[in-house]
Amino acid sequence: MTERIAIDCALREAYLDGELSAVESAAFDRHVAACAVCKRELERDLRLRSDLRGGLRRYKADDALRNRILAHLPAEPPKLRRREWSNRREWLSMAVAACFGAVLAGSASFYTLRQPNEDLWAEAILKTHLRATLSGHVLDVASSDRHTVKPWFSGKTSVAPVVVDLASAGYPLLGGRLDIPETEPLPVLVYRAGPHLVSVTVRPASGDRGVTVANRDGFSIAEWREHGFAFSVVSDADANELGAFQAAFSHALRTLP
Amino acid sequence: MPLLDDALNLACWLSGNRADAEDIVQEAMLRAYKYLDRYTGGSFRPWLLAIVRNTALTLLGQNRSTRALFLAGDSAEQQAESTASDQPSPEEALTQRRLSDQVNQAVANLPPEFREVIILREMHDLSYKEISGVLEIPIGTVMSRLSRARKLLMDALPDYAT
Repeated sequence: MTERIAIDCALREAYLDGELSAVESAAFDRHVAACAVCKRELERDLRLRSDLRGGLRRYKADDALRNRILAHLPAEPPKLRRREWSNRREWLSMAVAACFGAVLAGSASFYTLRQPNEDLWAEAILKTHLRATLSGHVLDVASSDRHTVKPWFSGKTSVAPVVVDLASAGYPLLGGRLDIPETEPLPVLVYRAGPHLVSVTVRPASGDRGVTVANRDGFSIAEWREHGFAFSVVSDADANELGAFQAAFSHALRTLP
Repeated sequence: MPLLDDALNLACWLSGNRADAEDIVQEAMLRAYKYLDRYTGGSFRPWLLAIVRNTALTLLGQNRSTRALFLAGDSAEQQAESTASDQPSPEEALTQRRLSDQVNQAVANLPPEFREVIILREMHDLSYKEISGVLEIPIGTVMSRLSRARKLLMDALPDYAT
């Protein structure tokens, strides 16, 4: 089904703004070659665009604003259990600073990756990660000892996650939390990768599946299946860093005692 | 452009001064946090910018008197501030400022409904559809406003005299 659009001078600005399909755009190129008016106008349009994009002042947020926002975010998200860790303030600052500094402040290049209606699961775990980091409620159980973290989940979710120690690979275990990305409460393991928090959501799954790493709204999401589980990893670390984390995690799974 | 900068930039251009803009951004970030449930995926940026814009309408509506402290003096002052921190060199910044002063002034002088489409399109690089979502107006209106805004700018800038 092809809808025919008349290629004429009226399309000039849609062409300028990249709103035409490739076919229409090529047709408009041919139109411009033959239309002196469009040629002249387009030259002015492009000059104005470059003056605007190059000349308009871009305002930048400074640390004072960042800190002000941080200070005003709700300190206590609703309906949360008492946390088992004491230095909450520190966590809140780290999580929210990570968010506004690097996470929410995701790089502009990802903006062009629009994926409407795609992958509700990825969106769900991204949201739970965002919510956790924004609220400062990153951990329900804080411990670097996997023998403390793993049993904490028992009775709270039907999933008994495998917990690996990645400290020697440079990714200390911070603890875990319970998230409900869809309808089921699921265990989420939290690691630190340099300045980044890494959330690993664990679901039972059969079969193995190789890793995929995707960018979504400024976050990296890695997913793979192994060892009877589906692992979904979200972080504001970039795709390469997250790939390295995934490799370390996978290696640790294969060498579990 | 990082998202928080995006938010502040839009707020500055909508409000006309940085103090109001910072209040707008602070409030908008709180709202974004509160309404995160309503974020239905897709690009986070237009979603956040819509909140910034709506917050600006609310806050500026409450406090109209603070408008229009902007430009000439204010913008030059802020340019100088940023020169001290992140601009390459004072000379370059000065040249840049001279070139862009007229353009900045012309955009700041646009009526708000034309200014916002230009800012969203040329600074935030939003598509017609995204602008339509942020401003809650039909795509046809986005197109006609953009077109009109460009015409107004060309009329205001001596370089474009025909």
